[in-house]
Amino acid sequence: MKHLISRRNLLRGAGVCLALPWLESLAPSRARADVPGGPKRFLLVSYPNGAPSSWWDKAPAFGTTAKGANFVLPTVLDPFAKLKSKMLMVSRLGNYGWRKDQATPDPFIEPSHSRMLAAMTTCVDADAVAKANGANDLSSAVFNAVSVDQLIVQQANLGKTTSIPSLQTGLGVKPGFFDARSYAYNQALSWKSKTEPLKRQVNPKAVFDALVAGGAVDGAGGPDPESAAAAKLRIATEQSVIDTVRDDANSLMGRVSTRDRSVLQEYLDSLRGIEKTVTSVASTMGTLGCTPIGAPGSVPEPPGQGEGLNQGDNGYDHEAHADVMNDLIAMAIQCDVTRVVTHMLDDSRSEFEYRHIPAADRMKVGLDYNAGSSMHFHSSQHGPGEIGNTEANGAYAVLAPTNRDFTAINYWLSRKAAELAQRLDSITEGAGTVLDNTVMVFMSEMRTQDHDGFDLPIVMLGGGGVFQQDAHVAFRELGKDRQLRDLWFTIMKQYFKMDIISFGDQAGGAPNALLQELLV
Amino acid sequence: MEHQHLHIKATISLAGRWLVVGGCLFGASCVGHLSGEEDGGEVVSGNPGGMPVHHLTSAEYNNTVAHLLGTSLRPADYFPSAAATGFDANVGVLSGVSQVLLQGYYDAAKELSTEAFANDAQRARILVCEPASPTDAACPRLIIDSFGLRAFRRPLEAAESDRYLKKYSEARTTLGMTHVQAAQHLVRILLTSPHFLLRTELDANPEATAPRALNSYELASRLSYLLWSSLPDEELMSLAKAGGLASKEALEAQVDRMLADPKGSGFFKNFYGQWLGIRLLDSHKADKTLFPAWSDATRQAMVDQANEYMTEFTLGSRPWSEFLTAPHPASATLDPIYAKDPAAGRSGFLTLPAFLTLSSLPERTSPTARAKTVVVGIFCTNISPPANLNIPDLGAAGGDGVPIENVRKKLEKHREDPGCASCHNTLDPIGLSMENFDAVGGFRTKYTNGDLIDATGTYGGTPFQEVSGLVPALAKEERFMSCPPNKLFSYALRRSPTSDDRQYLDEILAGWKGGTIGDLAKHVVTSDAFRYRVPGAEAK
Repeated sequence: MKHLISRRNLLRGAGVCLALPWLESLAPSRARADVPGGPKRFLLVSYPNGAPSSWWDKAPAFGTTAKGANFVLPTVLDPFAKLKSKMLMVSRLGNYGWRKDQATPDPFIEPSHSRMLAAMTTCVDADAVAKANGANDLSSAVFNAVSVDQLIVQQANLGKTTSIPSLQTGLGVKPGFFDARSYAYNQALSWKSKTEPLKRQVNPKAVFDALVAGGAVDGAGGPDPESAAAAKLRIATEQSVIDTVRDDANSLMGRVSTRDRSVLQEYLDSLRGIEKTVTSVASTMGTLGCTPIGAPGSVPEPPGQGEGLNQGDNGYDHEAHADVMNDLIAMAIQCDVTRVVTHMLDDSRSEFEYRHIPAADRMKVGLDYNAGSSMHFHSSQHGPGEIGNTEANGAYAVLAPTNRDFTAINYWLSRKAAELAQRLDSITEGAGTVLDNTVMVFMSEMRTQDHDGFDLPIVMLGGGGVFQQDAHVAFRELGKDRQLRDLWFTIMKQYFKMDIISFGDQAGGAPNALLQELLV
Repeated sequence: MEHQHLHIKATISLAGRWLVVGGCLFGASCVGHLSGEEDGGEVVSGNPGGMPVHHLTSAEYNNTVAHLLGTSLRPADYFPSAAATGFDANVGVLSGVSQVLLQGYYDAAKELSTEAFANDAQRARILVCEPASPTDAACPRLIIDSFGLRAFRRPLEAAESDRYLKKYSEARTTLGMTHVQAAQHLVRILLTSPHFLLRTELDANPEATAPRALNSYELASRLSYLLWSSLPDEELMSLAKAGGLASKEALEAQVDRMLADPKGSGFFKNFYGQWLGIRLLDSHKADKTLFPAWSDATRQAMVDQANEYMTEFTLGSRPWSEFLTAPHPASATLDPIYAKDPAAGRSGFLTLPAFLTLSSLPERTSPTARAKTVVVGIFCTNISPPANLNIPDLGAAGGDGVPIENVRKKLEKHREDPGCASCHNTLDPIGLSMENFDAVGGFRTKYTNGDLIDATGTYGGTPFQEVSGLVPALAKEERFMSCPPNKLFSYALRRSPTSDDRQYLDEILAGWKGGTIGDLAKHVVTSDAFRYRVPGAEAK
């Protein structure tokens, strides 16, 4: 393979970003002038397939909150230990109220992986939206609702002041069976409109190029502002390409059927986005304290279901991939290229084998043997382990503890999210850190091995001044629990001060209500 | 439901006027050939549907730029992929152009045109003339027209050609480019154009509901993307220019030629690769500690052997009826896999190491996956688990779980659940019949725990000892014969067959009669569904 994706190549130049925290006095004035008290950001980090039973080991009883010393981290969240004081664990929150195909919504649906992931950021039933829009074939339909991150971009104006409105990244190099649905329900968290999924980008080089095009200058060569004449010629050249192909698309419009026009319209809309980027004058932001990393290596997009990279293929290293993506997300935020990021640590129903997980992580969850285990994500989800759904002493009974392969994978995913959070916390901003000015949510679309849509494992970080910190809030048991749509509603309303009336569907038609327990 | 309204009858003159109007698809004069005013000709019945505008798959994009430019770059490996069920060439998933995808196309066009002009051989293919003078317009137009013909898979219209020539002149003047730079700029533009990136079949009357015959250029593209996953070559384009694809005989001759061409590997990789799952082997990983025979070389040998096996059914004379019984092509690399075979040996697709491996998990066989491939892939029968059934896995990974050593016992337990039994009663006998073959296809008589393997079962009331006894019963099924037409039709037309397609599928099956897949391809490409389109057809 021509493109190197080895650890060494992936990590080229990494780390520079963090060595140079944002210098308040040098920060570009435009990045701050618009937001008194510092810019606000939204970062959603997801992992598929739910959490192991031990995630809830230390959960407070249904309907109660544990704070400070009473808030104890479970082992799988040990990597967050240093950030415990900025952390809010949320338990017993469900995401199934949108089911309208039954008298009482059931937290178990099929196909679960795709529908639960599609609903995670929208809290609507993508299948129902598709049917309502006349889609005959659910296996290729692409319908959902605008996702919470995109609403924040559009309505909290977080996208207006930065060159890239939002960034979608991911590490899914080996997706599994798509549950007889489109990729869009398995490889996208962000939905710009009900028909526009923004697929996660797994290729660090493409993310890097987008950030550079968005104004972060390549640190390798340092800032090299092009001359005015050169910039003018470059822009005229790009404009010539864009004008010509736009004419091509427009002339095609009149010659295809109504249905086909939507394809061309998408082409034209996408072209406008590109035009905006390639005809802008390069930013000189790089001189102001944001020193980006060097260009990373490439990781190919997995070609289809069940296809893609394994650990070690052509030198591919998953840990390095995860690290460089963390670097890029930190760079995007530090350089203020974007303020809204969704990051999928893996695609839904991943077939990736987490063979790379180091012994240190395995040992944490008691997996001190078995170095040769395949650590296949989906198989381990279906390995031993079961949690009940009825109350037992203020919690759900663990009928069989989750197997250690699955637990070790969860530990590793937590560690990568924690490392990203720590990066953001190491960048000083005003009196606090970038993390303080961010609502970061780390969560899965389903509960655990059972594929259920209640009691989602959720960790929040940052959100200072609005959300509780150093606390674990447990809502009530199934049937009396609260819904995820209210968490997104609370974040949008209370943190981003959005004038939002409702978010997501509720079978009974109940309006959204703030999750008061989470608020300061 | 009755479909009377779909039995539109239009008389199309394929042999007469159609040849003459070969290249005039876009002109108003084209309307006439649909009206059937000419000499008898053929009759198209039913609703052949359309092929909505869609972009190329990643494999098609990479092949197309390779054959167009002579590049070895594979830009599409990094494009976002869009797939659901079925083939990745299904228009249902190829009709969206996201900004991420277009950005990929945009950057690739720049990279590809830069590379093409930095390389003498590549550049020479594009710069087909030298301008006689700085103001010579004939040479730039020739360059544009000849590159445009190949890139757009059709001749440029005069107005298009004029417009691109104007861009060329502007590049020379306003952008200060030399002749060569301006030509490169135009190549970049054409590679970014929707005419290149999208598969379009343009109609004079886009909302018309009457079927029209495709012109020869459109047929050439349908043929080449079906059989090569790439653009038409010079021979196809010359035939298209001469209207030489109008007869069924001409199409059949092209099927023979194109499948035998090295580019026919696109058909093996993308059609068989996805239908029979062989493509999945590229990403498969067996546990080497359990299966020492497994290596990258073994994997490649399995793919090569499977392709060789399919070659007999494609280019050779082996009929589909022998798909489950044909001898395996020899492969020295795979000898260790065959080493423990009993004297009777083995034959047929179901015991090919490629199939036995791709349908297994890294550490053990999966009789369910093997049976599912037979039922879904070879019988075209969709199975879906009962609604709201929480399907427990047999337990595989799970570091502290007991490894599955005797999968039959596990499945028996699984079937005790009535929800599971509904599918597994059908699936398990098929899957378990292959238990004598391990997760990389090696023969075995015992599980690792010492349990003897029991591959016996009953299918359709008939007991069998192991897979070779099951095969005759499978081969007798009507579904075994009707499935390949269904799959190839779906792949060729880029859609799941609709109820309107029933009649074409029936005709194809009746004509094919279980011959070779090469024959089947001929029946598909000569079907009215392949040669006609309804401009205003709604995609299903």
